[in-house]
Amino acid sequence: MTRHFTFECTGETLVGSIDDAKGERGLLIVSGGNEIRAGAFGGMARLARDLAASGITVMRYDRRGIGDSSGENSGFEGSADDISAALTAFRKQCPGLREIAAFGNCDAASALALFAGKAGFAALALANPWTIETPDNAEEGETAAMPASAIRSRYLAKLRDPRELWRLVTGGVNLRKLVKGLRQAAAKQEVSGLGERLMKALSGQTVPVAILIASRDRTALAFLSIWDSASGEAARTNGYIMLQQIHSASHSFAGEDDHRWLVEQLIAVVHSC
Amino acid sequence: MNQDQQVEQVVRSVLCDILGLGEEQVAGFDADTELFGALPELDSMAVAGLLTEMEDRLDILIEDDEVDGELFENFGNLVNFAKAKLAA
Amino acid sequence: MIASYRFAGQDEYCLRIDRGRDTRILVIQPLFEEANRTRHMLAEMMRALDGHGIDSLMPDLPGRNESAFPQHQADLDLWRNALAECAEQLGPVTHIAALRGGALLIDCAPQLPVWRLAPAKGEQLLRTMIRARLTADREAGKHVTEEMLIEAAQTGPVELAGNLFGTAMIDGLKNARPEDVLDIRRNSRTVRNSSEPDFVTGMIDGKALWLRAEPEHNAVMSQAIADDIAEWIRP
Repeated sequence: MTRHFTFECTGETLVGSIDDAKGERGLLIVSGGNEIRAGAFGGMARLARDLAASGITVMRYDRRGIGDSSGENSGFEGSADDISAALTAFRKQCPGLREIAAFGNCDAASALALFAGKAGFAALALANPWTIETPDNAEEGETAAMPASAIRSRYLAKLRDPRELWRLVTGGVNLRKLVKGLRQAAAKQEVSGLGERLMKALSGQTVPVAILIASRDRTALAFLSIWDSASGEAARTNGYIMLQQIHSASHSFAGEDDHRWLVEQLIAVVHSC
Repeated sequence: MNQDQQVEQVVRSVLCDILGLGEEQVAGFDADTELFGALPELDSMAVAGLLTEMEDRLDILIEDDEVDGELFENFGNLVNFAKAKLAA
Repeated sequence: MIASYRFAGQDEYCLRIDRGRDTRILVIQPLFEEANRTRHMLAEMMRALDGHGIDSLMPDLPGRNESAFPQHQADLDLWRNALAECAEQLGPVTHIAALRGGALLIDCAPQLPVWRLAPAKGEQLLRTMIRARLTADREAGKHVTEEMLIEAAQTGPVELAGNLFGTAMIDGLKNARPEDVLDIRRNSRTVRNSSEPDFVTGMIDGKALWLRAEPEHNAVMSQAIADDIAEWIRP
């Protein structure tokens, strides 16, 4: 049975959910984008139940400005305090847990890479980390014009022709060829400030870190191009970090096989604590 | 506003809602404004929602085989498609 | 803030602001993924209602959000029953506020005054989800048609846009229209949001949050809905 509770973060009220298990290890799931803690299509709620069934206690939460929580949404860049508060709440709710690891997908993976060190997790699972800089196109008096998802795809549009994309959707394109071309194109990209910061943060990790990659996901491809470049060398040679790949285009590990793989990887990460 | 202008307005409005853009931004779309680069990360839900909203607000029916890459290439193609549907 | 109601042998999550006041609103969320997209806006709306001195409840429907109830076993009638149970256990409820597809379930408590925003036809919601499934399948190189999906649903759960559907839900949605569950004699107010070309009895300032690709917030809409409801209840 999942139990729900509130906890405090900089004076705001956040909501968390815990699936208890008998073991001594826990996993904090950090949500990506603006998703609510149950996840798109209830995916995180289901993942938590699956992991709890295998003996891992799992907590999910809505950060400030998301879902049921109060406060303002500051995106993944502003989520350091939420992550710390969630870990504190997790320890308070489940005092019997010896080790707590954390998992995040997409920009949540980036947030964990950047901010988890201060919080104190025993291990990290970072899936398809987000490395794409939000263009600073805000003029005086304006705020960023496009939602994050539109910005993402505008960046991606630079990599390939719109018609190609649609041919992909309608099945008229050889996926392998397209992906190869994408990877080459991505390799020529300037490494953004965020990409640099991420590589630096990864190079300094001193707990086990599993980087989980869906090898045909566009976000993952962008990450890999930086990981494989000169900027990624210190991170690549950090012995604490292991890269695991699944041959899939699904950014969020949708589909039975992807889900099963993700669960296996997360169990492995938690047991590496 | 004549019917053509109304159709255009409805298409702008749907894009506003789906993309989460400001009205001023969408008001600036002209026939050549590329849509594909501006659409949210290729999300089958967003595309599906866009088509259903256009159907609902314009009272037209869009068959699955009428939808191809060209339709979303630019604002002009989308508007012309809608106008043609109404004229039929 | 966190409450639960009992349904089909399980505890279901219910967001609640209850200070024991006289007016208590049952909030019926949009259906399926539109609920995710409007979740924070509605939670803030409930806090704004609180500011107006009004209590509120927003239950999870079985199979949705935090619920562990098997999705494919849910249908619109089951959801109506669940809402009635929630109102019974966490009430008394004095009014209903329903958004989008939530307006298809307002007969869970037919005697209560009802406020509706942008009521949606079941057929329209189903169409969008089927389209999303067909688009995703084509991306994966599979050839699937709507007819094939409907037929498959006769013999087992079908996945549409991330949710599992049984044949009862699909049939229910195909035939559900907001006007069919709104008795003409019932005290009601219907508003549309400002991106609609026409409107009935009122307009709420704000974009159609439920159409976005991912959840976003609209603080203006949260406040506008709460203000409109409060004004309607105590003019």
